[in-house]
Amino acid sequence: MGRQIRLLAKVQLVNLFGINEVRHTKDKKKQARFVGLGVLWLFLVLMIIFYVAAFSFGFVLLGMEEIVPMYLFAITSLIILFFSIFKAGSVIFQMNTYEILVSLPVSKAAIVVSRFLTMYVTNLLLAFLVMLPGTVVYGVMMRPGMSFYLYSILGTLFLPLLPLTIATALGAGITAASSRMRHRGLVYAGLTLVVALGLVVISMVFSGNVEQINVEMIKNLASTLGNQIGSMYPPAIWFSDAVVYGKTSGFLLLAGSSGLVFAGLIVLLQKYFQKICSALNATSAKNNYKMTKLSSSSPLAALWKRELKRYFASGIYVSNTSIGYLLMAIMGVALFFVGTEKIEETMQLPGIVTKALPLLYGFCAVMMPTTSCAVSMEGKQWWIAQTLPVKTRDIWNSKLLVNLTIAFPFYIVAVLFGVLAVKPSLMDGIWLGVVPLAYILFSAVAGLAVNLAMPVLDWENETNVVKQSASTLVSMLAGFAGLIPPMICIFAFPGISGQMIYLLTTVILLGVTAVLHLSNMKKSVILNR
Amino acid sequence: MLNIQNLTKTYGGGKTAVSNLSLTVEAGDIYGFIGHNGAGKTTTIKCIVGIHEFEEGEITIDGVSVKDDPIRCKSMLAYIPDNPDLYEYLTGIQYLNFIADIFGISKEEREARIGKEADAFEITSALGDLISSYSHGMKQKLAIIGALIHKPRLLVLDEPFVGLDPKASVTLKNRMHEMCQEGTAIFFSTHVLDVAEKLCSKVAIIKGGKLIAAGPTGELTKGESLESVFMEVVRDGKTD
Repeated sequence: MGRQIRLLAKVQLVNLFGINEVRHTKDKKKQARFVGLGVLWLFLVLMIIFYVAAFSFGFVLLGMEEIVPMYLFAITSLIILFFSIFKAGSVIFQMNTYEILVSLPVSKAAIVVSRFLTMYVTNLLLAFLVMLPGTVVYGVMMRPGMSFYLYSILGTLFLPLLPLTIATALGAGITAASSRMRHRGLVYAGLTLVVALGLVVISMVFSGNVEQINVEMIKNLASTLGNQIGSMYPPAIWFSDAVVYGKTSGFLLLAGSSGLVFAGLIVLLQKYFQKICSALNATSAKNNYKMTKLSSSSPLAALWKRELKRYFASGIYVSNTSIGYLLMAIMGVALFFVGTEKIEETMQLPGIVTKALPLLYGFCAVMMPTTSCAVSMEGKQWWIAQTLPVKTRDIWNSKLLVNLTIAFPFYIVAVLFGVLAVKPSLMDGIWLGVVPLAYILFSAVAGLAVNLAMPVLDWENETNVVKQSASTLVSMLAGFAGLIPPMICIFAFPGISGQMIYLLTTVILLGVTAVLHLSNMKKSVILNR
Repeated sequence: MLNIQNLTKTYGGGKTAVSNLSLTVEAGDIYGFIGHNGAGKTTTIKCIVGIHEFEEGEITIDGVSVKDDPIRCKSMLAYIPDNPDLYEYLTGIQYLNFIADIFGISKEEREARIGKEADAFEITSALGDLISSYSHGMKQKLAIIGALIHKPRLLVLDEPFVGLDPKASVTLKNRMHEMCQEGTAIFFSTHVLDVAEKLCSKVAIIKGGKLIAAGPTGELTKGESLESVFMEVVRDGKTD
């Protein structure tokens, strides 16, 4: 089976990050886009390295050096767990190569393991990216022995295994539960969001406790923090025992538990793999239609309705793009029920939630607009839109309208509960409504602009577009770029009037949005020229 | 109806897929476009229907340039690709209703036309099911109905008979004949030379992106089979 896994994994990994396509394409523009994206990733990687190194340096300076490996391990695991839940199911059960693979003389376990390996490799890169700077800072400042480096590398190799296994188990469970339903995309998205939000709540409770401890028990912070992490995620303690104290038992516990849980999952998955895939492949054809009266709509309304159906047909699309808006609404409701004073007290920053709420909503709005991959999601069906006798701007507007249709109900709930919770003055209330709306419009229009500039239509799996495309990454960064300047002003310069900051932010955002929108409307349906 | 003058299309990688191609399809023609795999048939078709841009040449539909007024051109034509990737998340009837909305067809007309064509292609009972549940042939039938729904003046088809069952093939051929008698121009690519010979009033042969023979089927074959003429001109690469 080892050979089968190796061969299958090789086929999957050969095009990791689209490298194989770029190597063999003769399209110079595609190569240039790949280089551009590479530069962007390099910039992000450097930022992460700098951030982790500075963070680790600070901890060592405060005399809490033993926390560094444990903390980085736990945080990286949580990030891997959170982001993998959104894609694990669709990667493991991807249908595009299913029929070819099951007809080959390979075992189901080999198929599952090879698919798992592609996720493992990308997450291993992330693990090393976070762990290495911390390890280097710790190594340079603390001069540990060889066992530190040995266990750091070995432990990092095991880091993604457990969170990925848990995410895959959850993803597989969600996929299995939704596979037999007619609206499986929606059910998949709903269940994924519930699980992901559960994780957010757990991590918020966890970080809330840390903030309280920070003030009250500063002297024993290291051990208290260690206990907190340990109770949340014991493998981080095992890793720390191996790395910091050279305990082989810690490493064995980490490796053994990760390996065991992984093996258990593979045994379970291979048992149900074909059943789940068959259920996903199965279609409920009633074959009993009789012609009835048909309704009619204007071309724009028809495009919008079609676009909405496309959106809700994809679980991974819905779960990834609606989570920001959902968080916005949950934030508003939570503020109303918990009370702003209590949250500000916990954060030790009086008045900050009240002042920064429009930007916090804005942060949720720019996380991932639906437009950031709306064009790419057309995939091989793009020929239909290209050959329809409709104005191109109607096609782009239908995609914008769907983004606003999805965002608007959550926005209303967020603003309504935000106003009730904060009880702002008239002007503050207006900004609470206007600023998030400006961010929603900006991110929707910017997302479309980015996707029109870097569309991917020849994909085989929706995950490639929603989770791994340059367009969604750049859209998110564009959104954050519009958020950082006012954030800095609000948090770093409390003397500056909040209303002035919001006025400027809104004017600039809407100005940029208008320019981008006009540019979008001139774009042709012939992409990738 | 369709006039292509000196069409040249070069892809991003520098490959010239179609070079200096000219041909004319009159109203009432059933025009077959034949050639090897990679000869440039699909590229030419995609330039006509607005999927590809082209660097040189001109394509007009009923005198209207596809570059200057693509929407008017698209409202006159219908296109059926070789692999009908349709909106799988819609039911068959939702797809047809969507197409009818885009072409602005009245409720009464769309009900009558969908009913008639769906019955002819024996797909009515499946129209309430998601397209994702359709076989390749059923998708092909749905794409054909979607193309016929607005009574196009130019029908462009890329390998239309691939995947169709024998009865549906006959139905399509009959519909093509009917449309041709009503004045519709039909331009289609095919590998099946027998079909082209029996069905087409005119044929064009393309090789390496260049048109090497074109004209009325009878004049081109001169009593020989289209297959032997095709093999001869493709081997020699000469135009009569």
